[in-house]
Parts: sequence; C-alpha cells; structure tokens
Amino acid sequence: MPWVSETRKALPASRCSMITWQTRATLRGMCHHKQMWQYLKQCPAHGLPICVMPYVSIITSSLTKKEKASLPAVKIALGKYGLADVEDTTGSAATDSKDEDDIDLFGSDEEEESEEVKWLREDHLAQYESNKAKKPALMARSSILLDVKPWDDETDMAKLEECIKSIQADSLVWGSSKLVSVGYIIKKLQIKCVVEDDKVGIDMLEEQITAFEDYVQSMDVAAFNRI
Amino acid sequence: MGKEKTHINIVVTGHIDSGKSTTTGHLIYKCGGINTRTIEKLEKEAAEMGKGSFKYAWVLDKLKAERECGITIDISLWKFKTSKYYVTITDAPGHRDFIKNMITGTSQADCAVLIVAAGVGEFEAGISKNGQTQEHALLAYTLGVKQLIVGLNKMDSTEPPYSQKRYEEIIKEGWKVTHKDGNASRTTLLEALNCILPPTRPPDKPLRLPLQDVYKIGGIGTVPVGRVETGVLKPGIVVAFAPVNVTTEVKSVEMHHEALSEALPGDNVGFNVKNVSVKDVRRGNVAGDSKNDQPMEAAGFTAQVIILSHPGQISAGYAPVLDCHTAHIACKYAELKEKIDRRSGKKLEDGPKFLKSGDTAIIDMVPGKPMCVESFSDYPPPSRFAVHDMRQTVAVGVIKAVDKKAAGAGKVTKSAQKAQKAK
Repeated sequence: MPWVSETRKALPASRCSMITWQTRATLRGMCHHKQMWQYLKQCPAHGLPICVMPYVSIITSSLTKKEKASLPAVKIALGKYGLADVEDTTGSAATDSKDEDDIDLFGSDEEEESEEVKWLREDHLAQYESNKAKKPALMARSSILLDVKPWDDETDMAKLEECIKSIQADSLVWGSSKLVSVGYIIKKLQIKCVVEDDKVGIDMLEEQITAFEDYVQSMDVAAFNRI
Repeated sequence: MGKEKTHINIVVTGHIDSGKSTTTGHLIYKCGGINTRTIEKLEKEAAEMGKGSFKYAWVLDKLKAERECGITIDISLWKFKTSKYYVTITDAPGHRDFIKNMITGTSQADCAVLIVAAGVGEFEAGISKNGQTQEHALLAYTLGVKQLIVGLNKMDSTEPPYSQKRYEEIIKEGWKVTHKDGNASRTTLLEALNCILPPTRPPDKPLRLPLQDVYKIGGIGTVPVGRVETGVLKPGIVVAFAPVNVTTEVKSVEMHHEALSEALPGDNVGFNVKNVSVKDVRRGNVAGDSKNDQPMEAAGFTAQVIILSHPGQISAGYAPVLDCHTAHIACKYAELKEKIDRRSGKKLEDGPKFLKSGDTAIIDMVPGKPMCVESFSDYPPPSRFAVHDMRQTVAVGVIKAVDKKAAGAGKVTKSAQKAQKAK
C-alpha cells in the first residue's frame, strides 16, 4: 500500500494518539452513519477515543464491504456534536508507527482503492488545514508548580495546605504537593495545579492564596509549563 | 568523584503546531528526564496493549495525562542530561502570565530554543507578521537571553522530504544569529545544547540578593531568604539591605538543611541576621555587601520598555505596577524620552507624546515607594521587569541606568558595628 506511507508523511507526527489510523479512517468513513452517531453521542465526553472503539467495531462488522466503500467521506468536527471541549483526535490521523499489521478495511478491489486513496488523501490535507485553523481556539492549559511560604516555624502546614486546596475556580485543578526544606527548620509547601490559560491567571491565584494571611507569607511560581 | 555537570535553564518556544511540545517530550524521554522505573512500567504497559512498536507515542501520551492530573511533582520540573549539562527545560505555555514569570521567576533562561516547522506554508505562517516566532525571539533577546538555538523541525514534511533547498530557503530568512563562541549551526538539537555557553552568574561581582521572604524562627531569630544573583554570601560578612537602609552581620547561611560556608550565584539560601526584627526587612528588599558597592535606593531610573498589549495609549504620568526581582511597586512614567526601533535600537522619535502596543521606548521612571533596582550592565538579573496593569502584563523592560539616592545614616546594628571594628 504505497499510499499509506504517503498520507502519513503529509501529516504531523506530533499528534499521535492511541487509536490506529485505520480506526480513525473507519470512524471518519462512518461519520454519516446515523446509528454510529447515536452511539457516539451517548459516550461520555472525556475518554472519547477509547469508548468509541467498541462502537466502531460493532458498526463495521454490521456493514458489508460495499456499504463501507459507498459511505461518503465527509468529516464532521466533533465540536458540532456538542463536544467542543474534546480535542478532535479524529482529525489528526497521524502515527509514526511502523505497524506491520495494517489491514485495508476498504476492500481489495484495485479500482475502488484508487478512489479511496484520492479522497483519503484530500480529506487528510483538508483536515490538517481545518485542524490548524481550529487549534488556537482549543483550550490551552498550563501546569503550574507553586511555592507557598509560611510565616515561621510554627505555621500549621497541614492547615495551610487545606486552605490552598479549598480555593476553587473554573478549570482549576489542584494536584499533588510536598513540603520542601528551605533552610533552618522552615519548610515551604510545593503544590501543583493545572489551569486553562484563558480562565485562571497567576494574579488571581496569588490574591486568593495570600488572602490566607494567617498562614501564608508569600507565593512564587516554581515552574510553569504548557501541557 | 568527578566534577558535577553545570546546570542550565532553557525555554522552548515556537509557533503553534511547530511541534515544540513533542520535541520537549522527546528530549526528556530520550535523555533520562523520566525515571527508569516509570519508563519501564509504561513500556511494559505498551507492550501488553500491543502498542510495542510505537511505545514512544504511548509513553508521551501517558506522561501528558499524568501532567494533567498533576500526580507527580517531579514531572513538572523537567530535567534531563546531555553529555555536558544538567538541563531544566520549560515548554513555554501560551498563558498570558508566562512572560512575567520568565522575567521575575526563579529560573531565568540561559538559552531560548526556538522551534520552527519546515513544512510548506508552516514556516511562513510562523514568521509572518502575526506569527509569534519572531516575537518570542525578540522578547527573549531584549530581556537578556542572548543565546538562541533555532531548531528546524518537521524536515520530513518538506517537498521533497529533507530537502536541502528548503533548508537553505529557511536559513536565508534573516536568522542572522551569530554565536560569539560555540558555533552550533547545522547540528542536531542535542549537539547544539552542548554548545550553549554556561550561565555567567559572576561570583566576582558584588553581592546582590533580593529577598523573597523573611522568617522569624524561635531560638534562632530573623532569617531572610532569597537567591544569590551575583557575588558570594558568607557567614561573618556585614550586609546592607536596600532601600530600608539596615546594616547587620550574617551569622550563618543555610540551604535546604545544610549550613554553608559560602553561597554562590544561583543558590537559594536562608541566612540568620542578628538584631534585626522581621519588621525591619521585607520581600522586595535587596541585600548586598556593605563594604563592596552596597545596594541603594533608586530615586529614579531609565529603562527600555516594550509595550506588549495595552488597549489604549500610554503617555507620561502613567503609573502601573512594576515587578522587578521580588519587588512589586507602582512606578510613574515620568518622561517618554525617545521611541526606538526595537530591532536596530535606532532612534525613531524624540519625546513621543504617546506609546501604543508594539512600541519600544526609552522612559524615565520614578518609583512610588522606596525601591532598589540595578542597571543591566552592572547586575543583569535584578534589572529586568514586567509592567502589570489591568491584571495582565502590558509591557516588559530592562533598566539602563539608575539614579541612586545618597544613603543617609541608616540603622546599623550593634553586631554590625562590632564586626566592622573587628576588621
């Protein structure tokens, strides 16, 4: 299948995900299949790729080869199905795998295949474009590691941590934490959080954390990475 | 025991879709940034799931998932080794507060790595006027990150793949990056990283230590904490704090649990001072050696400022909050002296009335409260600042010159007098 490697090349290797490209190709081919979308819509928004798998195989097995080939290859953005927050992994069918057990799901008829090749490739290119156009709109997130410093050696660090974790904001998720020795007998609290870039600012975090003024002397950002 | 490898900090930036996160992940994965047990576990999982042949993607995805949940702290402090350095790497987020953090944060970058995608149309999009690529590079440069590595990514998506012609096209695009030493052109990213010149945090300069916090510890006394930016801090020396003008002797120095005989640039340390109350010194103050160019309050200073994003126009009299080292103080734009071309530094206009987003200018500023700052040529780290207004970073700048206020008679503690007499 020489076209397989071609289409792979045309796509960014950076967005690999756990579904093989065949699954995605099949998925895309099925997009207009009503039954499929009924199943899809019932899936919880998170974990989409995994939960889709069984439905894909159910549907593919219920269709004949001919039917599959005749399905229109229109790709519909997941966002249109009320899943705006989900990264559209169906759009970036890329993998740098050298998997040898690729199976051509679209029949073996030579004539038919060249048709498939054409639309698949065009489809991929179009998607790469539309995906790119869409990307900035995706919810970018950052992982932030905070240093929270107490006033003295008598500050109750467990209570301090409790206070910090009580802070709530849209998209803010508190992660793990640990106490790090500063010097003498002072320890600071190092705590991780994940935020959506557009929703939570450092100012807001600092304001709310330092508001626990009985416990907190100051807050610094120890690490700031994109996810 | 062999000599320990030098630590360096790098920040990876690039146009969206340039593959910078993948590159970052790859470096960490391949260069031992993730502990072996985690990798072994994930690779085994991959094999069990039948994903053995693309375990790389599997592992990266798993790690991404882990970062999202915030399970392990160690993964958020990304580190890896090259044959020459220990590297801490930051994958620059698009978050609007990141720039401020890059300037005043604890890990200032020694080198920026700019990832550009070579794919048809991608590179052009990246360097176009609206592209972030040049913006990031320029910003980093203005703020004193003078080393830049340009990583050309996705060479496999050129037409034809790995096209030499395309490579030449791209390097023609005016990346006139001249390395004074350590020429790193046309090598792999890893080789280029080894060509980074290690940070010059000079121990032979006078001491500068901006305070992050001040603790009161039972049985010990007052302990200020901060990072040594330049110079050396030792027990026994007499330090002066600016702008509060307090002078005292350093009794001991500690880092983590250990007592130190000397703290060098880059060390985050606590030090015990005598006869000073926690009310006398605070976050934002700067400690220095009282006998060697002691830090002083700034009556005013001249800075080069880049306006990043301000909805309106900025004129003289504007008084936003400046974040400079650990200080957080409102400063007035007293006089807009000249507007300059940010690339060449050439003067465009004398005494501009207004400045708007994208402009760079030389401005005279006056702090609203006592503040200690330094000029870039003398002490680079405490000379950079971010300008804060309306809950965002509206500008960044570098201090070119400082008008130091002559220090009056400040508070000199008894132990400082004794220590001075003894010498």
